[in-house]
Order: sequence, then structure tokens, then C-alpha cells
Amino acid sequence: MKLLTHNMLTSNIIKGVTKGFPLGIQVSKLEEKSVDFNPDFVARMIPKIDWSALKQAASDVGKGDEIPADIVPQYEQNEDFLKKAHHVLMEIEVIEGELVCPESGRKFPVSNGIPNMLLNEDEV
Amino acid sequence: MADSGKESKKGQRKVEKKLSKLRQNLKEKEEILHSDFPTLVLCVCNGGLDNSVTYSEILELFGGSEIKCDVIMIPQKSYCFVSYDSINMSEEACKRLNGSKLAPTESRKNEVILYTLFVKEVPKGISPSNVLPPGLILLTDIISDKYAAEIMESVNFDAEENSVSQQLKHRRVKHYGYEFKYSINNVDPDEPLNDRIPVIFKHLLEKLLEKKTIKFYPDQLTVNQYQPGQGIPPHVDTPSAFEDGLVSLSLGSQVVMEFRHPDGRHLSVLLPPRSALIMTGESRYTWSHGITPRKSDIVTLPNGRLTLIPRGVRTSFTFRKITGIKPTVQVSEQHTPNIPCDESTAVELEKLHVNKVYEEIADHFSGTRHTPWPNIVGFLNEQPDSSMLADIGCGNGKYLGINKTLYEVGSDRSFNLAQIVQSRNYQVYVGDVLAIPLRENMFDVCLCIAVIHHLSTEDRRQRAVAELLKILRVGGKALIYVWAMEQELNKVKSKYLKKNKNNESADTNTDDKNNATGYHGNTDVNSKAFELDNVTDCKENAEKTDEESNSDNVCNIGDKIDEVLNTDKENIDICDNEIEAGNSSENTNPNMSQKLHVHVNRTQFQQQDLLVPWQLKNGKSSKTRNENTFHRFYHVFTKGELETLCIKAGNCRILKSYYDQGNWAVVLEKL
Repeated sequence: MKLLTHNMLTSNIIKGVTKGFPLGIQVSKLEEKSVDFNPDFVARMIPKIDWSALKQAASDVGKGDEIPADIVPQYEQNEDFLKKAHHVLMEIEVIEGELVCPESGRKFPVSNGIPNMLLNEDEV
Repeated sequence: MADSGKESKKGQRKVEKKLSKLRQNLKEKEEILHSDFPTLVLCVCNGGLDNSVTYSEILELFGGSEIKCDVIMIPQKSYCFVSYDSINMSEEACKRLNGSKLAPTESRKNEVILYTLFVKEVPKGISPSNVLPPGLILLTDIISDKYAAEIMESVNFDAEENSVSQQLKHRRVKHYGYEFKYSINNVDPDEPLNDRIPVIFKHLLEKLLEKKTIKFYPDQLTVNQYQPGQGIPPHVDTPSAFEDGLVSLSLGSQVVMEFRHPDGRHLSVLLPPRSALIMTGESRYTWSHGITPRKSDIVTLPNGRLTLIPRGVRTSFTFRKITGIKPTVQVSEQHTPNIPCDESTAVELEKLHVNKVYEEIADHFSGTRHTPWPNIVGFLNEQPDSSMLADIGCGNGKYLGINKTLYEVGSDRSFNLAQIVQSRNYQVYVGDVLAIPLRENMFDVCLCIAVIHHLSTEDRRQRAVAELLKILRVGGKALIYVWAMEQELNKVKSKYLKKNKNNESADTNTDDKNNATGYHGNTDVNSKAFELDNVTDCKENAEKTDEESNSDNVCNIGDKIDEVLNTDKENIDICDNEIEAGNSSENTNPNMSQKLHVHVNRTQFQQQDLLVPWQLKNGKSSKTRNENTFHRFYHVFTKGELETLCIKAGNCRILKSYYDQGNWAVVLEKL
């Protein structure tokens, strides 16, 4: 699971959970996979994602230092920023671990890079 | 016929043109291969029962007092076959009669022009083949004439004994050992009959046991007596009720038995009198068998000649060993759950007949899903760069990675399918379409291919669409595909579709009301939204639709429909009057305890909610048990139903809706 994917996941499917975002990450295995840098693509992703959630996710997996706390002005032209964002969004993958609902504490296992977001019948 | 040479030439050209068209049609639609060289068999186009041409007319014209020939008329066909003893004779007749005319008669308003062609091969269903389905054993002359006569005497249908005897719609039946109850398609092991299998069969059965043709000495016998023209619908003997190795002894007349595999293979097997047919392994558990109601069979003689043998009275003796498993315990071909009427039964049904099945068949399923569909690829490729896409129910990820400019997340309910997606380096999570764990108003594009038809109540299907809309941003688009009840729309005009549809309704006994209103009620809605897509390119595509399963389940059934149609004309007329009825696609079942049917391959859908068998290949040997057949639940959509569902689901408008290879599709925009 890339952190960009993590940025889209929520646990608001649980009964009683309203926002369920961002999910906390408890990681036991992390991998870094090289992905071709496409500045245009990253620049177009920035407004779609929740930056503070990305920053928190990066911190959760021990990579909090690799991106700034806020989106820099005129980031479209800032290759250094886009490269950092690219690395954190696209190249860091959670392989084993758990995603934690911020409201209920419910944990969703991540195994072989695949989050299991299924709920039990009584949670829906 | 013509006066001048010029006109004759012109006439000849016309005949030639007509013939080449006919050859093509016969090959494509009827599986009849013509031969450029003379053969012993002629196909006489327009000389069939469907054109009100009679057997005696053809016999007189093609044979007469001097020439000997056989005429084979086939019900509901516009052609017939004539077979000769020598090539000279068939060649002469072909030349003499090609283009000849039959004058109108009382039953035939117009004159008929006959066209003659030499035939290399007749359709499979008409003439039996030498190939047998795997596991099928045919032992001819298994008993002597004398033994056969003794058996027939001992099983006297006319004298009502203590044994259970009844007249079914299509045949007479008598049971020994245990009664086979047609209401549940099973036997009750706790209720043995007083009449055990008569001792007269001991000799035969012990012989089979000795030869190891069968593993168990049977304890249940069903005797069926078929009059000419009677048959039995295609079926698989209840797997849970009987052990492997079913023995069927044929006495009296020969008959042709039809075997069909879920992948569409079809073999006709000639059962001569005094033969024993033993169904084991695949032929017992996977292939269905049945007898087409006909009054005669076309049989290939050793010299390659086709001939027509009229059917007489045939008595079949089916010996089976019961498993002792009480009925209602297992889901079998014939013993299936009900169509769910509430949420909890729906969840249970889908667990068993969707989620579990996909886990089990994931590898094989994935192996049959290679080629993306052109219309879906087209949709993906028209999305702007860097769009965010969620593929809900992505299966093996067949549609991921097609447009490389997108950011894509796939999801599936199956862990095993998700593993396959992950191994292909796509982003994926395991999740349910009814609880999509993605942020709201986030996605630009959403795919949901062949998913919603696995949900077993209308409420759940509607909620699924609402979930898709939930994750889309305003202006975002969703492409949804579901399996269609109508499987012949692309080929044929709407008139045919209407017939087709009516046929379905007419053909169903218990749920025809459902289907009729479900469909007809929607015609108005559809006519605006409906847009027949160009599907011809897809036809070249080797792979079938996602949901045609691993087989030809739903392909090429047009001819079959035609045949059924002709037999069900009365019902069709009744249904025509109901077109205006109803105004909603709501298919809530008035009959809550309605049974789910197991879909019979290559037949029209009998109901909208059904179980479709998936035959697992390369699995454990199916010789011991029926372990390799899985049943997936489907709700097949009628025309317009998907659009109505989406509009009911909420804030969206339909940008496009179309029919694509047996599926209904919509493109939605979130409002």
C-alpha cells in the first residue's frame, strides 16, 4: 500500500464512525520501491490529497522528516518539493502492519501490502 | 422453366447467388456444412416443415417409384434432408430439383422455391457422434433379446402393482428401492419402498460389478417409459443423492441422448436397444443429459449415410446407489436455496454463493480473464491525465494499468483475487462494495464491472450504486456493467428481443409475472436512455464477457430460443398483452419462498435470480465427487433495470447506457 492509497482510505464505514480519517499506521514491514518521477502527475495529485494526513502517515512509518509540514507555495515549479512528495506518495509501501481507525481504534490488518477493509456484520 | 437461353442464364445466376447466401446461413446458424462435391445427403432449403412442406411432397419429388431415398423432416425448420444410396442418384436429384418450385397448397399460401445443397455435416444435435463425454461408458448388446423380453414382461406398466408408478408430463415412471421424489429431486433414505430392485436384474448388475464398470451394487431403480415424441429435459442427477456410476439400460426403441458441458460442448449419443449406458465422473457430475422430444432420430450408417429411424416406445431402467445423505442438507443442482427476501438471508446467500466461490475459483477465474473489453478500455482512455480511479470489484485487475496516466486503486471482496492484483503491482485492498472505505467526493472515475449482479436483493444493489456515487466527486463518472437477462440483443432486432423476452416469461412457470412486469414496465424509461453500442468489434474478441463465466454459457443461444419460441406461441401471445403493465423495475418477489434455479448452460435464463455453475478446471479429479462445480449467485438485469436502479440510488444522471455482449452498461455522472 502506497501512502497515496492510504490517503484515500477511511474507516467511516464502521457504524458510528463519522470521519474515520486519517487512519493511523502501525507498520512492521516497509518497502521502498523506485517509481519513475513524473512532476506533472505529482503536481496534479497535490490538490487532490490531504497533505496533513500524508504528513502524519509519513511520520507513522518513520519518514516524517522527508516532507515539509505544509505544501509550499508554487509547488508546481518546485522540483525539489515535488520529488520529495513523489517519494513519499509513490515509493514508500506498507507491506505488513495495521491501519487504525482514529475514532474507534478498530484495526485493519495490512498483509502482503493489501489492507483488509472488510468489516464484521455487527460493525456495519 | 425459362423460355430463352438468356433468361435461363439470368435465372441460374439468381439461384447461385441465393445458394451462396444459404450456404453461409446454414453454416453459421444451423451448423450444417455444405460440400462442394456430391455427397449422399442433400439439404433441401425451403423444403421444410416450417414452410408447410410435407414429408410426402418431398418424398415424391426427390424419390418417386424408381428412386429410393430417405426424407428427414425436422420440426420447426425450413429445410429438410434427403439421403440416397448412391452419389449418382443424389447428384441427379440435386441438378434436377435445384430451383424447382412447389405450388401453393391449402396450408401454404405462396409457392416455394427449393434450393438443394450437398451436405458434409449435419448439426450435432441431429446426428449422434462417435465421441463420448469423458467418463461415459456405452455397452451395446449388454443383454440378449430373450433376457430383454423377460425384463419387459416383469415390469408391466399396465398392471398396477404395489410399486410407485405415475404418469409424468413427458413419460411414465416407476420406482423401486426408494422413490425418487420429483418435487425435491431427491430420495429419502429413511423411506425405503417395499419393492426392492427385482431379482431379474441381478444377473446384469452383478456382471457390471464384476467387470468393475460400477463400484456399488445399486439399490434404487427408476423405470421410465417414453412414447415416440416424449423426452426428458437436460439435468444432472442430484449429486448428493446418488453415488458415482449411474446405469441406464435401454429397451425397446433406440434414442439419441444429448450431453452438454457447461463450457458449451454438446455431444449426442445414440443409445441402441439392449444397451447399457454408465455415467461416471465428469459425464455424471458435470455434463447434463436429456432427451429431445422427437418422433425420430437421424443416425449415421456405417457407410456414412444418414438415415432416419422412427422412435418407438423406449423403456429405460436407471439403476442408482443412494448415498444415504438426507435431502435438504446440501445445495445441489436441484436442491437450491430460496431467493432471499431480507438482508440477513441475502448476506448468508452471498457469503456462500459469491464470496466463498470467488475465493475458491480465484486462480482459475483469473486465468480466464485476459482480454479487456474494448468499450471499457475506451472509457478508461478518455479520462483526463492524473484522474483518480477506483475499480470496485476489480477481480484480477484486468482493467488496471490500461490508462497509465491515472492513479488507480482496485478492490475486491476476494483475498485470493486481491493477491493476484497485488502481484501485478497494482494498488488494491480487500473490501465490500456495500461499505467502500474510500473518502467521499474524492474520485474522478469509478469502475464497477460485473459486481452488482452478485447482490441478491434490490435494496443491496441500490445501496451499492449509492456507495459508488458516495466516493465520486461532483462531475465524476462511474461505469457500471451487469449481466443481462437478454442474451441475444446485439444480433437481432428489437422485434426479436421482444419475442425473446416474452419467451422467457412464457417459459417460466412460477416467476413469469415478475419477469414480465420487470421488463415491460421499463420500456418507456429505456427507449430514451437506451443506446445500442457498436459491438461488432468485440465479437472478434476471443474472450467472452466477464460473466459468461468460464464457458459459452450464454453465447449462441439464438437458435435455441427460436425453437422454444415456436413451441410456446400461445404463451407468447398472452404475454404480448401485458406490455403496458407495471411501471417499475422493482422485482420484489411476491412469492417469498421462490427457489433459486441452477442455470442450465446454453439455455435462456429462466429467472432473474439464479445460480450459475462454474466448472473448476485442473482441480482435483472430478471422478470421485462433484467438488469442482461451484454455484455463483446472479441477479441478471432486464433492459432498463440498471438505469432505474441508478436513478433511485441518488444524485446522478445517466450519460450513456448500452448493451455490450450480453451485459447492460451505464455511464453515470455524479450531480
